[in-house]
Amino acid sequence: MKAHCSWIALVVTITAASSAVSQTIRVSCPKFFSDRHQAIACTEALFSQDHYHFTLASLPPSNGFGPGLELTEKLQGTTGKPAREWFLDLSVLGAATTNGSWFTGGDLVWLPPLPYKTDSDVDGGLLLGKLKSTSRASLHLSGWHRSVNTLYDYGNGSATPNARYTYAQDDTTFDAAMRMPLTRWLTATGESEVRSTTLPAVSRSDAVSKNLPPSVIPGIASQSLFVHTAVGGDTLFTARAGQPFQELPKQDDPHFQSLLLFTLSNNFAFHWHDPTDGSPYSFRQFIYDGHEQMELHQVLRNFFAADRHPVVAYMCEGNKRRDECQFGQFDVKMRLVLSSERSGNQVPFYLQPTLGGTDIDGRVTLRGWDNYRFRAPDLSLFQFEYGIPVHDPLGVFVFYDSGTVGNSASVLAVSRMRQDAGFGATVRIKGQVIIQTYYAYGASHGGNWNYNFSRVF
Amino acid sequence: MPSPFKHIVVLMMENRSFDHMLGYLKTADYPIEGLNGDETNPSADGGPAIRVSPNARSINDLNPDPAHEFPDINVQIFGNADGTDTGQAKMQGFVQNYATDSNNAVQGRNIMKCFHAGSLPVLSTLATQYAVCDHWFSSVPASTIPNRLFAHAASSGDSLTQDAVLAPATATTIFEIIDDPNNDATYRIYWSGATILMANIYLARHQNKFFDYSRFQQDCKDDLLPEYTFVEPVYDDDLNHGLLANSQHPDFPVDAGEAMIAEVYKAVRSSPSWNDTLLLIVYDEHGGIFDHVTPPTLTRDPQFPDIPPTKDFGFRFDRLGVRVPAVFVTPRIKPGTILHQQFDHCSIVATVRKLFCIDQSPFNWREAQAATFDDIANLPDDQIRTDTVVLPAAVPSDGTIPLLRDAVLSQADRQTADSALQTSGVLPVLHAVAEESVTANAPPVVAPQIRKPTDLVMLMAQAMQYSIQVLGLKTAKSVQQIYSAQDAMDYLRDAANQMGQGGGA
Repeated sequence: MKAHCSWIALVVTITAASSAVSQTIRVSCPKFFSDRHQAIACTEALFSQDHYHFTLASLPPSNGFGPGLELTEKLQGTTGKPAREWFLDLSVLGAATTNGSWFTGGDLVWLPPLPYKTDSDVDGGLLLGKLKSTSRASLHLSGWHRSVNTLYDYGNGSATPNARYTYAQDDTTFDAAMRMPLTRWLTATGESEVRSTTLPAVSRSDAVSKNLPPSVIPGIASQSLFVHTAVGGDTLFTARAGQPFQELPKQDDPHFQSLLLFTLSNNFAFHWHDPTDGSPYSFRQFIYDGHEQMELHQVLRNFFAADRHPVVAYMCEGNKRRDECQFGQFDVKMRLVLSSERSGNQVPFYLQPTLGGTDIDGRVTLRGWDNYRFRAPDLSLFQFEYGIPVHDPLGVFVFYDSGTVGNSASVLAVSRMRQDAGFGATVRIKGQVIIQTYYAYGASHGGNWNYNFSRVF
Repeated sequence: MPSPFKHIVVLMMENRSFDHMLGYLKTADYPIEGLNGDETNPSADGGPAIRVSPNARSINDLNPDPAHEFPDINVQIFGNADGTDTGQAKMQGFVQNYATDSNNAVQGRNIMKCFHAGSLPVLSTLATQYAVCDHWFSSVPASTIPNRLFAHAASSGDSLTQDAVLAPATATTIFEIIDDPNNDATYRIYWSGATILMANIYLARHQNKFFDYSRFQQDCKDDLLPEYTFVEPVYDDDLNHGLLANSQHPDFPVDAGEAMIAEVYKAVRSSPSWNDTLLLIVYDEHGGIFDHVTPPTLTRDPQFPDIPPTKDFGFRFDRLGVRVPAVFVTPRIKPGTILHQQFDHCSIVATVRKLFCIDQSPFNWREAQAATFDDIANLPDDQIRTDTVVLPAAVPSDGTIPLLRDAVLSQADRQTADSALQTSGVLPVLHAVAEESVTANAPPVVAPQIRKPTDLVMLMAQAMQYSIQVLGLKTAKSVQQIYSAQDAMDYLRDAANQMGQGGGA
């Protein structure tokens, strides 16, 4: 059974409403035992206070979770003539987990003082010269180290036997990423990263190094310092479709007006990975991530007796004109990774994408399969999920995943796709999922239960 | 007569007092309970009294955040933390309290800085083009959460502090009353990631009433506004979601809040239901910032349910908090309407109940006593306004202070200055007036070419501009073109030269 617990999301959710004025440890915690209100406030403060707070952090799946400490600082000011605003968010996080893995890192988000002006044509619109956008240009700098004790490898490709081998991985990276909104729907992205990966020796009998030949584990013998650069674009379209609202005379049955909300997010990037020591692991990648979302809403157009229609009782949580009833949300996710190695080069196995459970970066893949189950330089993945609230805050959902990996794009055929399907339930508080559980069944593999403390999809 | 309003939209901003935002709108032709310009507070360092001044900036005046918990507000009103009224002069402790809070006597003076129509154009325009209420008080002399709870439930439970956790969770709000299944009315809450309402257990079970604020504009156009809509600002910067705080809580930029107010106004204006809609822009509490009107006390009416006294201070909720800005926007109101009637946040609950609820029993005596605003329309159906009030752009957070000389000086000061202009001693008098009216910034540490001008030199420049205009002279630049300290000094030198040449002519 998998146990990927995203505690951070839970804490953020619980404290979201109080972010207007944060609780403070100094004020609330000394009175923890004398006042139940203060006890709750203290707990909130411990995990949300400005400047520093505790966190329960998770590392890649199969490495448990544990306590951490996060330091945050927000700065803003003006510069230039005429003066322009700049913003800076800093955070530093350190955490250790139950299996001895640990993470430490920091990031900085800087909104440089560009002469943005308000574009009153749209909500939140911005003008930068002739550029119309809804977000500001930003620079993200980050540096982190993670030491992960338990990762799994099953060999290369989508047909590997279900024999699991273990390895450990230490990563240190320094990364600079830039986002430059060009239009309201297109943002240019760029990234430059220096990444050092080492694979500490694992003494267990199921260690990768003891069980798989280096020919299927490129990079197992030695690891290089990589320079990684990327350029790409993020697109975001939102749209709504519905009829104009028209008052109707009262009726006995609910009269619905369709309202569909679409959010289409598609990102693509070209990546270059080059080892600095000339070792034969230079490769390029094209990565596409798509997330298309459609919310199925119906607006009640009449007022009628509350308990006369079961659909309204469950979907609307109300029976009033203009009440918006939620008939569910349909999500489609797609991911495509195409790698191209220089002649005589390979993609190190620890930089290859994986399918199965959750990957090393926390991305959900084939939910009916074990974590990191399939690994190869190329990957395709399609995921479909439909969720519906049944009685606030409870909701249910069903899903289907299909994907495969291979050593070239030509083998990413539908016939090679691994598949799974499942169903689950969520508890939603403050608009966000705080508990999710699901059962996933992998075709020709079997099923497993999974639970999380945030929406994992 | 039945109320013409079928929709009420409330936008509640953060932590600004009435005088701070709208006090300087007062004129002989617009007689709000605002500022004369000679209101003062004792200095924290034994110096001359600190006078109000119309030189508030979008950011950088109020960092650290002025204190505004119950004991601090008592100091601001009564001069003592217990709130004991011995007949002393009221509203005289703002500077002292902020100086103590910031541990800086000079910083304490900033609490007297106010905006004026030129530096707060959006809210000022809406106030003057529609209706301003100059006696809207925060419901309790306390901070954000208790006051926001009063806006939803006419009570903050038994708490006066930000650390209240149980009160938001268990409060029975007006939303729950609207939700009566036999009631033909509904509500929406538009938010941007944070709202105290989501902490309410009842509302947490009705999350389909919460809508992301990004939908607000289109929902208005699509006529989806329900009977009651509550709009939350962005409370803090959320760079990961591209959101910047626009609540106007010190020291977040006021201009960002102005932009949001304009956005909400335009959205409501675009609704097909505009003619039947009343938009209220109100602030939750004064945030520790100066106001000159002493909050009134209340007497409990025993025929309505009581509110238990607070556990920490034993407060009986029998005194209102400090005055806050409140502006009503509807085409059913004449331009320039001034409402002197006393309101507080309980008025929102009482009005929504009166207009949209079957259950007409007030939560408690505070709601029962609160005036409703369902009857403020002063234009009949056949005279509904069809004009479009065009809002100016918000003044950006660039540190410039577009002062108007009329707003700088009180009537008495103006007479002094005018008479001084009749003689040769013009400059010293204006300097003296200016120095009494301003708060100095910290000593500069950067070159004057890139440093913002201090308030003092800006006031001097304003005074000089007035004199220049009276004397019919011209300078190379106007005061509005001053961006840096060097600009200001250049302006003053130019103006002095002009006066030396023209004045003697």
